[in-house]
Amino acid sequence: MNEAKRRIESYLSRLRKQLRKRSAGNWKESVTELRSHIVERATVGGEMTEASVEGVLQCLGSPEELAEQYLTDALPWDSEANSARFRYTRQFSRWTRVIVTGVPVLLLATIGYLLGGVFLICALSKPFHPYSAGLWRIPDLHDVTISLRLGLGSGHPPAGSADLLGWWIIPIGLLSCYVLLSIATQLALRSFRLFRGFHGSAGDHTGGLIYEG
Amino acid sequence: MDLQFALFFATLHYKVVAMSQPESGAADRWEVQLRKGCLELAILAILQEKKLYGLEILQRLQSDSDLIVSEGTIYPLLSRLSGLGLLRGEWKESTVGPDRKYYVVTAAGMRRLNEMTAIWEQFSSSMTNLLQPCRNGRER
Repeated sequence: MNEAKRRIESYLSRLRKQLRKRSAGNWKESVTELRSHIVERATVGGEMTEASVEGVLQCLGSPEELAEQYLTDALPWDSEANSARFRYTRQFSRWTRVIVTGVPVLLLATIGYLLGGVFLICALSKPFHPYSAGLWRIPDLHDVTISLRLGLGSGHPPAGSADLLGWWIIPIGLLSCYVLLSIATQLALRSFRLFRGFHGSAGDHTGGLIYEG
Repeated sequence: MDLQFALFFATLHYKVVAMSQPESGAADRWEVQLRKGCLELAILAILQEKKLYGLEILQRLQSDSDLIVSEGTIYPLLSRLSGLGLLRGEWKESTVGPDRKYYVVTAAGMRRLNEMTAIWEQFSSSMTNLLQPCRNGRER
């Protein structure tokens, strides 16, 4: 390799390093294009001299300055691409948050409402079905089962069963119902707010960023 | 502590003094920015006629306008316009030297060119009207 070519490669190597370091667009093609420019510009009468190469490189400026120009000029479309990437990432993270947080919260709220409803029905049916509704301890063959019975057509508990709370099931049931329904409502509201927040911002396609078109 | 305060006030003083000084070469910088701002339009306008490669674009700009700030300006700008989808690059073999990357204006580039031309015409006409008194004053 003669000195002129060595000088070109040294210049391009510095430029490549700068562009690669800062991930500037399609840097490989940029370097190839510049090599083509330098060679053609520096070739006079079919010959490329060290002096002619030096002249062309001086016109181009230092590799660092040139890399800076690539980065400055690439900025608007790079930031556009970045903002698009950022938008999709943010959208994805929102979806993840809604699924990871919202769904379990909604599930807990549903369970809360169901349990609250069971306690309410149990408390309300106790006066009408005093021997079947309530919290019963039912002996089994090998085990003991605790059962919250609503007294709705389930008949009397088996012999040997004990009503654990008796008439206390009415205040305790109502209180439990109130507490569970309150918690479930809070959870449901939270889940709804989470979804509304996501839905409201999903239409914001600029993602709060203003960029050149 | 005293030294830090002294340094802080010295820096502050320097900044205030620097800001109060009239900017030398401000007109030059404005001209450079103006030229750079027009380059995008000029390149699209040149390339709509025929596909050219970097050096040809440079020579065309140098012969038909005085927009070129430096040779290094053109390639980053071409890269940017390609990235925006306004130009398309095509590598072609050359019989006399290394391969050349020719640039073609895309459909999006043509739309952009039309938009920019309309803006430019309106802008230049209003600036000409605005600067009329200055021109008259200079002629007197």
